[in-house]
Amino acid sequence: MKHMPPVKKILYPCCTFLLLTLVACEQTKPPITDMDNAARSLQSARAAGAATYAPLEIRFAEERLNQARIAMDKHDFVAAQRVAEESSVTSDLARTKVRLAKVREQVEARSRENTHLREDLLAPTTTEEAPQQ
Amino acid sequence: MKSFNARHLACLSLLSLNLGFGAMAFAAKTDLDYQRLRASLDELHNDPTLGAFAPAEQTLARQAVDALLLGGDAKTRNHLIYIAERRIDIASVAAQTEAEQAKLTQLEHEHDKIMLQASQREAATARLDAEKQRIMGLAQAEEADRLRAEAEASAQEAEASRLEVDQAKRVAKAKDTESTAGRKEAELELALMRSRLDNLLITQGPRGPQVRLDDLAFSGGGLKPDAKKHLQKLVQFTNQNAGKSIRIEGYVDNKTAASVAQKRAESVRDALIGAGVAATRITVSGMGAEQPLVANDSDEHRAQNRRVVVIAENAGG
Repeated sequence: MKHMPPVKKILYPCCTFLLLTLVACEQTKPPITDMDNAARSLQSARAAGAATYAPLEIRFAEERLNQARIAMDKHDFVAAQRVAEESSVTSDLARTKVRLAKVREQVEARSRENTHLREDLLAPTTTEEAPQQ
Repeated sequence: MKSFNARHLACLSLLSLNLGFGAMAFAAKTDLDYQRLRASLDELHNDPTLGAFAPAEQTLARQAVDALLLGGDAKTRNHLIYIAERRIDIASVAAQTEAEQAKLTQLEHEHDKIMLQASQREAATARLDAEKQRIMGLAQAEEADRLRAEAEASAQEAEASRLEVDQAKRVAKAKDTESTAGRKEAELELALMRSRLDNLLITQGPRGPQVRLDDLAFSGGGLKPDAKKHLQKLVQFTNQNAGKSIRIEGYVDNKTAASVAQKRAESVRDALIGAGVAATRITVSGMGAEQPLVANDSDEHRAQNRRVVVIAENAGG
């Protein structure tokens, strides 16, 4: 250390500080995109009918989005970003569950219809037996 | 100083030990969560039904699980665990959705197949019905034909019987006409005969006055019964010539037996005796085919030659 020139003695801490500041600035940037994504995902899930088919997931998503907003208000952007991402993925899960429920409904309906059709249209009819009698 | 240093060193080493254990504990906790999530992800991936579905979601989930290995503070770790859990849930649900979707597609195909079979069956039934209708139509047509044929037959029969009746009528009419004609002819002959008998023509013959009885008055070898009723003129003729003997001569044509001439003459004699003429006065003679009035060359002429002549003979003649 003693061999170090005085300019360098000042320069190294300054550079380190600058770097840290930049990193800090990067981390403290408000997660606008994540917030938007979360809101959009929640909206999309609601529109798909998640309130009916995935009520638990939609509630979790809403809670997490609210938490994210609170964190935003507190300028705790790191927390806001995390919770917003969690909200977003929960909304995605809700929407996926809605799709599954709807497809299952269709499968059940089609299955019932096929059974009825088979009974109504393909059951051995009396007209086929009539000529034998 | 040395002991202080030693104590200090021990504290430091304890602290570092604690820190080491803490780091190890943290690493162990992360490892457990990672393994748990990894296990559930592998379970989904190796599922014989769902494993093949939702590959994109499964990849996202795997990346989320692998993010745990990067480490971080407790909050970050909890966050990453939460994200990974949701990602695995999403992959699982998406896979189930795709499996259900496949089932739905299969059901749609089944539905189409049922409808196709139903329409085929309907077509078959329709064909069967049409065939039945056709057969029924044929049967009806046959029945109609049969009835028509029967009607025609009976009509023909009726026509035939009508023709027969007509024929019979015509025959009857013809017969009637014939018989009428015959009857008329006979009547005519009879009338002629009566007329002739009633208006006997007395002629002067070589042997005295004489009358002639035509063939009309005779039937075979004797007088007709009707002729016997009209012999008053003949009786009158014999009475007018009371003193004279009566000669009765029978003639026939060349085709009739001579005996017929004799018999006819005798029948006239018998009639006159019956009418009161004395039998002793009468002589009968069968002349056969002698002395024909006309040539025996036709039926009419031969009829003229067949006759009986009654002669009131002059005395000594």
